[in-house]
Amino acid sequence: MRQYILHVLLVTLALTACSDFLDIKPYGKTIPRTREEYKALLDETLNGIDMGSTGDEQLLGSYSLSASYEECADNLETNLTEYPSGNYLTTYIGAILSGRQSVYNYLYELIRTSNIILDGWSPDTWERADSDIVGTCHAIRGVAYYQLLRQFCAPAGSEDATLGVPIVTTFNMEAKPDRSTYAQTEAQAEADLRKALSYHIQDKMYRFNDDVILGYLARLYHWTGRWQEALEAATEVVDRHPLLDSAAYRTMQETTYGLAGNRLIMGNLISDGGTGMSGTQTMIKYRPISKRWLNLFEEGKADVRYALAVAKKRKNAKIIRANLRSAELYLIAMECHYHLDHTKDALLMLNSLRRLRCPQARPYTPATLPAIPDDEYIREDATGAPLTPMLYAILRERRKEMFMENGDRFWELKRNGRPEFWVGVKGKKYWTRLFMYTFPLPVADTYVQPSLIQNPGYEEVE
Amino acid sequence: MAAFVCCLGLTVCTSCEDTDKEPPVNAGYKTNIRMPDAEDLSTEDLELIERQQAEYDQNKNNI
Repeated sequence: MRQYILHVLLVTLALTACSDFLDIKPYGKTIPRTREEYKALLDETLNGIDMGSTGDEQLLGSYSLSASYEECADNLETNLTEYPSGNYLTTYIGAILSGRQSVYNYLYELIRTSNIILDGWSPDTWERADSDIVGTCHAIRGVAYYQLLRQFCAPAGSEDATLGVPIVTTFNMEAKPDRSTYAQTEAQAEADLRKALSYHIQDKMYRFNDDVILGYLARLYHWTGRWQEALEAATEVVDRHPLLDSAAYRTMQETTYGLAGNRLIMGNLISDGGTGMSGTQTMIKYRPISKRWLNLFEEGKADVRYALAVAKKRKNAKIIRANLRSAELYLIAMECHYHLDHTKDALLMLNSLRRLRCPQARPYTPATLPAIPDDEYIREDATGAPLTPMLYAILRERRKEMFMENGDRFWELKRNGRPEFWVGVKGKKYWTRLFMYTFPLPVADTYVQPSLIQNPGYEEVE
Repeated sequence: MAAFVCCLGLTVCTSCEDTDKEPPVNAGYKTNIRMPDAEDLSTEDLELIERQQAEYDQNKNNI
């Protein structure tokens, strides 16, 4: 009898002890509990951003991401790609769209990290350094929502810009929120960036000082067509970080790593020690710069941007990077003036920038603005209005200035009408379609949560 | 018998120690999004590319 009871006890023990493996909450990770652990978690994330590590690079971008989006736009001539070496270059955006599903996950991982720290942070023993940490978490979350809005939602002002992304502001692995509205996602990004700004982050290690956060607010407002607010945020930063003259500009652009010149923040702030950067620079040379881009320069080599970017055989010579610098904010302010009907201010800024980049540049007047060429893909602006010569001149200057930075041209195409265009590759014709500018949510998430609405065009999976 | 049950218990219970395990979200599901098929280049398309190539070959050394 005793032996029978022993067997029953042992069997019961074996069956009951195993229930832990059904508890998926820890997901195999340790959740930090102490101040030092929270700080370590943030430090690890910031280190990943600085190094351009897979996943973390999605927040600020990286040279490889910039190259990838540049390859999908029209500053380079895909039709003239040299093969077989050019096989490693992205053909068109459709070729990398399925992979964008992981970008969504990476951005939510950054939001999760911020949420864990913000949830667990105790104000009981508040120190000055704590303001920097909490402020940085809000900045990271705000930038992540801005990136989600830009990549996974239709451009503001378009008829289909109704859906945002799920909003998650606390750490709860079982929560499955549906997509918010476009306005709610925009409001979340803005609220986080405003909150981050209120902490006035001091320690340089945390990267997101007031100017960086204002810069991202300007980017957010510019993206969503809030011209007055974008103008105010951008102007405040530009006033503190004026444009550089031609020589200083050249020095900045020839400095690969670090916050040279009036660069405010960047992905790959420090070298990862590998050969990734040089490999990317080499590979992109197998696709010549497009004639359309060269034609933007009336003054040719006299413009420092042309001289920096164009090497023999129309190969790119500019260092590819992801960064936020003063000139981008200057261009944002310029475009805002245009949309706010401050045409004189816009023209004044346009001519100032052109003169700094090319002392010989003749100032434009309303009568001498360049004509919109037939081969320009952008035919309408961010509000849906037809492109005017004045706005074309502004966007054209942006295109010259931001070449090989942030994949800017691809995002400009998205913001300004999502034009459809094709490229020829080995006898085949690949179309960049309107729906491709808005990336797919992870298909796996739609299986787990059927109420999660996928973006149009991504119904077929294999 | 008791030893057998103990071994069974210990063996099964190691599942909760497996810290690298992710929840089986993707198991058995297809997640690769299919893009529209590429088209064949038309004669006009090929002529355009040839013109681009000719212009490039002619001017690429005049940079």
